[in-house]
Amino acid sequence: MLTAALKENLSFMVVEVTRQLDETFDLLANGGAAAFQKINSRDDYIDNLKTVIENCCFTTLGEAKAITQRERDSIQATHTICVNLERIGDFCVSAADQLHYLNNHAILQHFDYQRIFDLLAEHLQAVIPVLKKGDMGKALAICRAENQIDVIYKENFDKIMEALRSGKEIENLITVLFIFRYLERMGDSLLNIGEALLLSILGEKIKIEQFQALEETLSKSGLRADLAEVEFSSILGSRSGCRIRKVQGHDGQPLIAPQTQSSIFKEGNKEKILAEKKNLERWNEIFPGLTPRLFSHQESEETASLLVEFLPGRTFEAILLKGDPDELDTVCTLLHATVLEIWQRTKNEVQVKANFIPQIMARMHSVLSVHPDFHRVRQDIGSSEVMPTDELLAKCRRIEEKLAAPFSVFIHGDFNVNNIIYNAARERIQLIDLYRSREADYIQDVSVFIVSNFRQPVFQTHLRERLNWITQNMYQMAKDFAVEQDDETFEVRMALALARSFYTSTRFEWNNEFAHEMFLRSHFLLEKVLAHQDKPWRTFSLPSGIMYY
Amino acid sequence: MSTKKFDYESLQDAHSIKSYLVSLIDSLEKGRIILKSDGEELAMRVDDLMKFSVQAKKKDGQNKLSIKLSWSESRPVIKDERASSMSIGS
Repeated sequence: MLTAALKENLSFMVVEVTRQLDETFDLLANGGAAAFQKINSRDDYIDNLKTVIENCCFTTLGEAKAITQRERDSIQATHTICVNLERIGDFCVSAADQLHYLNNHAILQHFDYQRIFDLLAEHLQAVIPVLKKGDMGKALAICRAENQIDVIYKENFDKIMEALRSGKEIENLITVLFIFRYLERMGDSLLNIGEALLLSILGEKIKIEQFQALEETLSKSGLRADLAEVEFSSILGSRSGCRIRKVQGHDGQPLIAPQTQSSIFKEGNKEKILAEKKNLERWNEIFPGLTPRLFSHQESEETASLLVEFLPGRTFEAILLKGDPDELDTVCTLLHATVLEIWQRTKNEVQVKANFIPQIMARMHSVLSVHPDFHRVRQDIGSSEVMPTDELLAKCRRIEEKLAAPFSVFIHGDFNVNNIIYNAARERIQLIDLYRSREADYIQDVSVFIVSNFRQPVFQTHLRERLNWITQNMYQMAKDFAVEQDDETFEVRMALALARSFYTSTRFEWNNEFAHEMFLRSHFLLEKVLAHQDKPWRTFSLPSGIMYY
Repeated sequence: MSTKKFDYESLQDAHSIKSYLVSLIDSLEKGRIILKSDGEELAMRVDDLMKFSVQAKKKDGQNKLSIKLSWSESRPVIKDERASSMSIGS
C-alpha cells in the first residue's frame, strides 16, 4: 500500500490545512494583519507539501515493479486528496485576502460562515482514518458534506441578496459574497476528496449521485441495506452500472431478500434507463425468464435507476474465446433455437423499415472523431469515378427506403456477443442490456452479432476460424428463416445492415489497420448495393466473404 | 519542387477492379493520365518510354501484386555546343 513517507506527508498536510482553516476562521471573526501574514506563509508550506506528495506518488508508480491495481488506486486517491487539500488552502488565502476590501468588518458577522468551517474541519479529520481503514460510511459522509455546505451557502447568498436590495453597504456585501463563494468552493474540493476515498475503497471511480440513487432504489424495493455495508463491483465495460455482489449485515446475515443478493444496479441517463425498464417488462411478457427480472426502479428529474436481477453464467463472448468446441457447439445450437423462437413468437405481419443508412449517418460524427480520415471525397481515376461517402450514403438511403422488411420482430437492438449470457446450470440462453429493444427488422440483430464476432481483437488462426464458423452458422440460420418466410430482399438488406455495423463499429476500434478494414468493407457493400439498383433486388447476392476475416 | 500526391484504397471484386484498370489503359492510350481528388487534379503526360514493373509476393497465404509505372516528364536535353564554342577571328 502507501509508503510510510507518503502517509506521513499526507497526515501533515491534513493537519496544516486544518490549521489554515482554523486561522482563516479566526481572521474572519476577529481581523488582524499579522494573522493574514501567517495564513499567507503557511500556504507556501502547504504548496511544498503538495509537491513532495506528488513526487512521491509519481515515483512510487514509476519505480514499483509489481504494483497491484489496489495499490495504484490508493496512490491515485492520495494524489487527488493532496491536490484538493492544497486547493482548500488556496481558498483560505483568497477568502482572507478579501478582508482588505471590507470597510465594515462587523457586517461579516451577520452571516453564518462558522458552520461551513465546522463542517470542513470535522470531515477533514476523517480523511486519514478513512484512507487507512476503508470506512465507506465515513467516506460517503465526507461526500455529503458538500451538499450541506451548498445549502448553507445558499441561505447566506439569499440573505446577502436581500441586504443588497436595501441599497446600503453594496461594496461590503459584495465582498462578503466573494468570501462565501470561496467557502462554497472549499466544499467542492471536499467532495473531490470524498470521491477519491471512494475510489481507494472500491477500486472504482464512482460519483456520489450514483450512491444516492442506489440507496433510494434499494429502499424503494423494501430493502433497508446500509450502503456502508454493501459490497460493490463494477460491471466490466460499463461505466453506468455497479453490481452489488453481497449485501450483509454486521453479523454476517443478509440484510435483504435472498433473490436480490445478486443484482445489477444501473443508474444514469433517464431516457435509456426508462427504455430499458419498459423493454424488460415487454420481454417478460413475451418470453419470461429470457431477460433479467426487474426488482425496482427510481426516477429523479435528470436520472433514473434500476435494480435488476444479476444473471449468473458466462457471456457468449467468453465462450467463443475460451470455451471448448463441444460447449461452443451446444451454446450455438441453443442460441439459434432461442433466436428463432423469439422471431416466431414476436413476428408481426407489418412491413418495417430498418433505417440502416440513417444509423450510419447519425454516428458519422463519432466515427470521424476517432478516425478523421474514414470518409471518402470525390476521386477520379482516369474515366472511373469514385463516389464520395456522403453521396454513396444518400443514394443508398433512397434505395433502402423501398426495401422494408416484410414483417417485424421484437429485436434485442444491441445483439453483441457480450450481451448474450449462457447459464450452463439451467442450459439456457439469456439476454442483457435491452434498452434498444424494439419492433424492427430481424436482420439488424443478425448483422450486429456477426460484426461483433468479426471485430473481436484476436488474430490467432484457430480463433479466427472459430469466429468465422460462428458467423457462418448464424448467417445460414437467418437465411434459412428468410427463405421460409419468403423474404426476397434478405440479402440486400443484410448487405446494408453489415455496411452499417462495419462502419459504426470503427468508432470502438483503435487498431487503425483493423478499423480501416471494416471501413473498406462497409464501402464495398454500399457500392455493391448501388451497382445493383436497376436489377430486381431478389437477384442480389451478398458477397458472403465480406463477413469473414 | 512541390509534391503532388493521389491516394486511393478500396476493397473491390475482380469485376470492378477491371473497370478501374480499363480506364487507366484508356488514359495510357490517350497519352494523359488524370487523377482527381476532391477537385484537385494530378495530371501526368505519358511518355514514349516508361519503366514498367510487375512484382508479386506470396507469404503465409497473403498475396500481393504490384504494377508500377515510373517515368520522368522532363525530356532529355539535346544541345548542340558547336555554335557557342565557335570564336570569330579577325
